[in-house]
Amino acid sequence: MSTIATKLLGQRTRRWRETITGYLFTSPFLVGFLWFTAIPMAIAFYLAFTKYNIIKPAEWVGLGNFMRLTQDERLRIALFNTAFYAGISVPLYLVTSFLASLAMNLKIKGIRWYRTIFYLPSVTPAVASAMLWVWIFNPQWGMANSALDLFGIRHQDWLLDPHLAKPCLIFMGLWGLGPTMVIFLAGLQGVPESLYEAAMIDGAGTWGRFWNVTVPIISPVIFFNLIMGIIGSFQIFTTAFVMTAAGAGGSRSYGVGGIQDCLLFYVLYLYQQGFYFHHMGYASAMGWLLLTIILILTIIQFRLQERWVYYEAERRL
Amino acid sequence: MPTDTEARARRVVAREVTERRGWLSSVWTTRTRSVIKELVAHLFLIPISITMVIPLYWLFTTSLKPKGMVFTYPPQWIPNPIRWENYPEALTILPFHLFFKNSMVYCVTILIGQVLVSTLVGYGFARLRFPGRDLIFWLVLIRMMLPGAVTMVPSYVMFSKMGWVNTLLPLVVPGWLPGLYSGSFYIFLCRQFFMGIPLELDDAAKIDGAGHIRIWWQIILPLSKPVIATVAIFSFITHWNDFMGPLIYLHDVERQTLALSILTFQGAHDTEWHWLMAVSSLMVVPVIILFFSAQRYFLQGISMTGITGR
Amino acid sequence: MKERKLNRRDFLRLSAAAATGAIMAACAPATPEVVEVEKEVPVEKVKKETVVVEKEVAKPKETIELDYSFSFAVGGVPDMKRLCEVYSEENPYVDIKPLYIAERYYEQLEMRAAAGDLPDAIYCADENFPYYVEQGLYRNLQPYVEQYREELDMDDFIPITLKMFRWSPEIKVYGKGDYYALPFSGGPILWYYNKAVFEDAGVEPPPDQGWDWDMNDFLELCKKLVKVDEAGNMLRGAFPLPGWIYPMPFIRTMGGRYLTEDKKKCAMSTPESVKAIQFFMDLRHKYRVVPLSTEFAGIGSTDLFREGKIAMNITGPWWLPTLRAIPKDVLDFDLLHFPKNPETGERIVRSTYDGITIGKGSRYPDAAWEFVMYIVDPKNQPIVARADEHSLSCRISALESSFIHPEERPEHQEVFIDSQPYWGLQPITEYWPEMWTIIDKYWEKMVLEKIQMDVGEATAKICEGVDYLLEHGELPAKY
Repeated sequence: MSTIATKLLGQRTRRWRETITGYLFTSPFLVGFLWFTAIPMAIAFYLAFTKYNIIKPAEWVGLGNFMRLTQDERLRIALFNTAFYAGISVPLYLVTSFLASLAMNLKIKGIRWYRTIFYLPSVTPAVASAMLWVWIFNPQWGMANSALDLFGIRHQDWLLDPHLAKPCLIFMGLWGLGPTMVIFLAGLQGVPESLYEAAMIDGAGTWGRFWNVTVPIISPVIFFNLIMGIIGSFQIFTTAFVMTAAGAGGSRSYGVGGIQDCLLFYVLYLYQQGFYFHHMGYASAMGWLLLTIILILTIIQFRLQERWVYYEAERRL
Repeated sequence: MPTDTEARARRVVAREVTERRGWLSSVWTTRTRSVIKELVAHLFLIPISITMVIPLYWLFTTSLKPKGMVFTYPPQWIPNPIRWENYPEALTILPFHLFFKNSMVYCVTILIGQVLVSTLVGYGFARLRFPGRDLIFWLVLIRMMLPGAVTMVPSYVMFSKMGWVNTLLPLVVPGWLPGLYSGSFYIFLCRQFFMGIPLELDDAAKIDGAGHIRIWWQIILPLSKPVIATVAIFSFITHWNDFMGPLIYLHDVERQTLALSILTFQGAHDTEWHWLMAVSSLMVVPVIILFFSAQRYFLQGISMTGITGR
Repeated sequence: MKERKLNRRDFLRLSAAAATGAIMAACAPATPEVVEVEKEVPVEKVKKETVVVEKEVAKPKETIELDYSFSFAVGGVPDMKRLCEVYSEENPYVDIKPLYIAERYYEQLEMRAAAGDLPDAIYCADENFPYYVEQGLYRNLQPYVEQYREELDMDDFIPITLKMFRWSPEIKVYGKGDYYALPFSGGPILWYYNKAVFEDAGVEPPPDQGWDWDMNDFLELCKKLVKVDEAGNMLRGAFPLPGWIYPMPFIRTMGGRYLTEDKKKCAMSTPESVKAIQFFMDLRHKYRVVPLSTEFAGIGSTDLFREGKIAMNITGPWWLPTLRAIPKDVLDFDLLHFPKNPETGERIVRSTYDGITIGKGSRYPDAAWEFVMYIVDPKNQPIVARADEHSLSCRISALESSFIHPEERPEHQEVFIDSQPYWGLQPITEYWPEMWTIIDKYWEKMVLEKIQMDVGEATAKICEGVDYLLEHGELPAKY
């Protein structure tokens, strides 16, 4: 299409063309979503109103599952545990991984090695690293208590102490910052040098450059990591599952959630309900409740972003 | 080399700034300052790096311990005796080369699809304006909010009805037509990055008569190497370590993947830790190589000198 | 199609060959065992007749494929596959497709059932067996058992192992009624002890016929074995306490029960049960001879045992391959019978077996039955039991030949076989996972030093939850 021809087209036609193009560009997602997500989601929505154990056909129970949600004691525990975990880990991981990415953005010798090393723990298979951590936190012979000895502090029960177990898990998560750090790093690499130079000429110090150049330019990336942090932390599963569902050597253990359910996170409980207790209908209802909770939190964040996230592309849209 | 000139320009600017700031700064030459800065950085980074490496180091040393000797008290940081035989054993009890090939085929096929599609769709969300766009974008987010355990059974039944079970299709097609968690994640990631790229670049291309496909391919993609590298690394590692998908959909042994094979070392009563750790150690190697080499694209950054965007 | 099949065969042969080598290397002294197996497999005569029967029944015109799903430690997989391969070769009309599911086996069986493609032959556990029978996953094998009673030689099965796979849908009681599976392999849990620790504690090793001992003797032994430092920290415990089902031998031997006779109510709060559970809890809280299993979290019992952090451990024969892999100069160990009740002289231990059954929707149940017979055949049982993590066979005639290896540790392997008269059934109901969760929660409260709950109170809570569960078929909202 030549420039002249484009200019000749009316405002309306251009809009129409952009709409078509927009749908074409997003069509792989739309098709995939309708096919692989919408269908299973719709089925899961239907199942939320049924008694369903996977094997036998679903049986309609109306709002029964949702009524049960309001009475379920362990659901409340799971919600509390998950909110506790998310409330601490999201800001903590966001700040630490941002700091790590700033360090990884330094132009010093061996930085590629540092980056690889910082990323390594997150590629270690979960089974192996969970086992290591359980060992470290062992009250009797673990390294965590040996470290306390150095400072003369009394030994702790760590994962076996209902009050310490969640902080321990959050602490462990610091080793898995790699992916978040890499996303920040990719963002930092995208900040044009020229902006820093301009700021320097304006007399901005290191702090000023960081606050007035780096932060606004990568604010879309910070926002991304915040949203993904919220979504991810509310769905914490694998680590807690591997650490708490280990069989008692000889027969399959159905216990998930650690000592006195202190590590019973939402999806862990959902999994136990759906696959161990065979209440797939109830698990589906739980799934939809979780979706609603995360959705509300995300909408709030999207509202708030208008105050602090700076988008290049949205200036004129 | 453009980076050279850039660096020189930066030094010049820095010197100017230093001079303007007066006597305190002038004591420090740029060189000594950067040397000290670098030393301080290493001083911080080295101990942290050591703690970061511990899990992987432990994984590796455990792979060299004899069966039944996983933990010793006090902890053994260097296994004694070192048992290299764990490796040949672990590799022969299962057809390792076959699983390696399967894993590679699986990961690379999905990787190509996910990079292409998530940048394409991300472009649509970030650079185009059309009715319903925000609604569709929320679908991307909603996809990530529903726990996988809830859709697992309906998905399995659906794929089974379609006759796709025991083929790569239920694993690969949702990669190309992103209907699963990871695909949505990459779309969102690409969208965020593309929103940060100045619109002037598109305008310039439009004046030259480029269509959106060309802008995506010729302008946006070359500028987005860091984020493409990120998507590629994430996609590869996610699927390299993913066992749930292969576990559910690939029943024939000759189709199985490495991540799945690790699980086979966990018995109902006992776990073959020495073999499990041996295969895990080997599995980490390609990931490290990939990550180390993909960094080249991070280092390049976006050279947008001259296009300041504001 | 043809090509694919070839590939599979090739692969199976390859992996079987490779695995035999690996197994030999892994459990080094087991060489003669492997040779014996290879001789045994081709000399399989009994099958010939049964194949004829099968042909008469089903008259397959072309080769039928039977899916056979199983899940156990990878070490046994090549042997199992080889067995399937031999069967397929011997029976030209049947091709067994082994389906090894490493993880979350039952979740996957359920999904396959939902999609309508359940395997034909299914390896199954005893604990969730009643639930799957009730859900219609397993076929009722009673008619087959009746028809083939002679050929099966029912008297050759260890009697209790047969009970483990009986269920009566009418009265919903485990251990009675029809056969919905046949036993595969398994075993009881018994005492392993570390010889060096016994020596260090000044305990004379038991005589060859073993100790004739009771719980009082056991308690005295435990006290001798424990080592504590000045600060009161436990340096060595008598044995660990993993979860609530492993202590079953203590509870049952001391006269306690988990469920009432009719399996309709919880019996843990009866005075006898409370007394029995109290005895067990005293080992921890009063006599301080046992560290918590949770205190060892992350340190496998193998490591604790080898390091001498625990003197004994109670577990099944499946622990043997791991212990045997440890050099003798690092660890030497032996086995002990379970102590008796000092008053009644009785004793009961927990025993658990895996089983094999036919998927309810199988299109070729007759052919699948042939395969089930092949698996439980005394000739194949040694391979089957060894593949399933070196457990005990379900066949009396195959027990000794398959399990006793005089050239290997421990010295008194026969303890596992001789304990047969006092093996007991687990308190299995349709709602095992739910029951597990309720008991586990209050068990923890009784065991943990910090939350320690009175046995009477905790068992009352357990019974409240379990009674509700057994009556309504679902967990109470609060428990």
